[in-house]
Amino acid sequence: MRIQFYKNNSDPEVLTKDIVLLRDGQGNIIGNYDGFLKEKSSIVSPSFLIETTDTGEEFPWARINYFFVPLWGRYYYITDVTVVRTHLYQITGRVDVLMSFRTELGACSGIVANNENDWNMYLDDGSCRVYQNPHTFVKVFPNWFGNEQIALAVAGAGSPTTP
Amino acid sequence: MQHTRFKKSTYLMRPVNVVSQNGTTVTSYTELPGSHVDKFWYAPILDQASFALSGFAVGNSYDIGTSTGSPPNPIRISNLNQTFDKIVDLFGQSKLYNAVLGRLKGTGSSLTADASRCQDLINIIINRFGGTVDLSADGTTMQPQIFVSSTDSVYEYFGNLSINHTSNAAEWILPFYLNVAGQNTYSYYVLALTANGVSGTFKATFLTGSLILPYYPRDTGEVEVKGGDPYPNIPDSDTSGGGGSGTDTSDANPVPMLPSVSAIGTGMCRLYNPTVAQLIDLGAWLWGSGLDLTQLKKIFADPMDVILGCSVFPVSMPTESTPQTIIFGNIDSQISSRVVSSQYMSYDLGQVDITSYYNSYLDFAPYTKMQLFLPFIGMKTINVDEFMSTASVTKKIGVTYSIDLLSGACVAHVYLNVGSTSTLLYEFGGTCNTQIPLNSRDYTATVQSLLGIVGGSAAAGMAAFMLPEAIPAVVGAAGVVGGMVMNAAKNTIASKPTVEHAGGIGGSTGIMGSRKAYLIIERPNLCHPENQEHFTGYPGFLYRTVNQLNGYTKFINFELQNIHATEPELEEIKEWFTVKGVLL
Repeated sequence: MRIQFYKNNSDPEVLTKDIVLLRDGQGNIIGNYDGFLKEKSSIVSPSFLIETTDTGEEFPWARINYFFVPLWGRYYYITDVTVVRTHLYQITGRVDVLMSFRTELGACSGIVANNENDWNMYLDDGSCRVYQNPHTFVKVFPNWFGNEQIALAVAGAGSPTTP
Repeated sequence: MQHTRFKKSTYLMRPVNVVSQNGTTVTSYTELPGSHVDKFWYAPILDQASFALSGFAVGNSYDIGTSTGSPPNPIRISNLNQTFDKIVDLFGQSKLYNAVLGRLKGTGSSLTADASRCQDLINIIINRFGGTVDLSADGTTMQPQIFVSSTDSVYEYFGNLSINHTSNAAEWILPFYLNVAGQNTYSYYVLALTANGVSGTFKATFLTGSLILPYYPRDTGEVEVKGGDPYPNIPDSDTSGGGGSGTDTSDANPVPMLPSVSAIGTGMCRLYNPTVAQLIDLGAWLWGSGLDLTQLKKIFADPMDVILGCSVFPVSMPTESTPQTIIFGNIDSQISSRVVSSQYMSYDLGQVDITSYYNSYLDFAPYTKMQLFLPFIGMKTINVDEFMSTASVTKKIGVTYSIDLLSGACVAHVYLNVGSTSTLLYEFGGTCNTQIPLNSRDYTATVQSLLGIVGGSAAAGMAAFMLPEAIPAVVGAAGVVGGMVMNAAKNTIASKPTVEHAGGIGGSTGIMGSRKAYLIIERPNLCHPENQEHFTGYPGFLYRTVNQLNGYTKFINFELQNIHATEPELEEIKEWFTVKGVLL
């Protein structure tokens, strides 16, 4: 079973991983190997045996952390590398569901809770933090009671009459 | 049809089809299933409509078939006592005190009503249910009739015994009826399968009918279980709501006009606007030799009653174009003064922009708070949500005073201005003049009024440090960051007290206080780490497909379609998208 080994440079939460095929000094891909499954191996957490030849380059287990099984169409994190004996390595992995199904996931939909670029800042999700010292602003109205005048109220119509 | 459910659920009644031995199907009979071997008939508890639908009516008969030689025997019960047991078990001994079971063995082809042959049956009836049995014959049809009663004097007609006219005597069992205890009218059904003459046509006859459904409180300590809807008068649940128009209009609510009726225009009083010098001259005239009390109208017991009030206002008053002399009652003082032209005036303090600081929910309550100081009234808390601008709408807050120049009362109208539309939202009252005491009464009244304000202010001062507003804390909002527990913004704000910035300000205290209206806006001081959007994102609550998004993403709910993954893989995918978040 052909297995392609990679160096994964991305965080597990990344949907489309930045993975690099191993190449030699001349640029030739050296990350493809044929492995065979251990008995009763799970597709979700498979375990492969990789055997290298006496004359070939040693298995670059120190430079890989990721692999792809084309037959299954799945990508895997390498969770363990066990040296069974010289030239025989047991590679154990766990499926990366995001990378494996990234194409199909693109068409899936739902209600977004949080997003880096698509948001409505008038929704309060309680996630913000504020300092203990608030900002205080004073806004003064442009007009004010700037005069002082006397009002004298007297009884009567204001017309002198003959008593 | 209502079903009666009893403790033993096997006794649920249901309409069944019973096929007689001659192949005729008899419907509308109910059958009691159970553990007994033989089926037996009992009166079906059906309503009138069911009777009508089934073609049955009281007194009518239903032809169930014709016998040819060997009569059909669709009903047979071999164990009478077993039947009685079932009846008691279902309906209770005390409630079932009338029943008829008839058995008659006939010989030959003639009808024979032989009471003696029913004696064993009659004895069983008496033994089990009490009462007496009177067996008499129907002279016309030679069908014995059976009356059973629970008392000594009242006989109830049950019906006719069915008769098997062949030597192969079948045990015909008349159905019993169930008498509802305490009912004034007997509510029972009797389904009698009778032999109609010698032709051997057996008919099913409903002899009586009444439609009270007998439910029986068990007297054995078992709980009465009633069937049907226990809430017949309560409307059934149904879907409701939704489909709102999403549109509404707001009515205009401008700052009110000033009153049109002025006390000044009534002729009963007059309002002057003298200068200080003119007032001094008036005082000299009053207390000097200028005022001739003999000329003063006798309606005034005290000359000072002529002066209704004298006070200082913080505004420039509207006056008539031509000054006039002050008429003291009916005496011309010859002292010139401006004359106030209207009792009421308005004074506009202008508008203030309420800018959006964050363009987010942080600009609104409970994060941002707003207090408004109004001269001669005091500090008022107003709803920041009503005046805060958004990214798309610019709002202003405006204040206009209406002043009564006769009493000193003032009303501050606080309105919202959006574009060219003003909407009145708040009104607060106060007093904006300072009295100039003219006698000891005036002075005392002024001081007492002042003490009330000061006392109120003191009380307000003591209560100035108020408890924090009841802002619900955000559950689980405290996040631990490197050992430091951080509270969500709401918790931080909820822990802060609300402080009164001013007590009661009015009258004499108001003129010494600020004459400017101002807003105090307290905004949160946001702690915003760089690249927060990349690590946590911001709330969206939008419907999107994954292809439409990039960067950090987390869904509230997420639908997986056309993913050829195993169930654990699907669960993990959903966890990434709805719990942990992914980077697209």
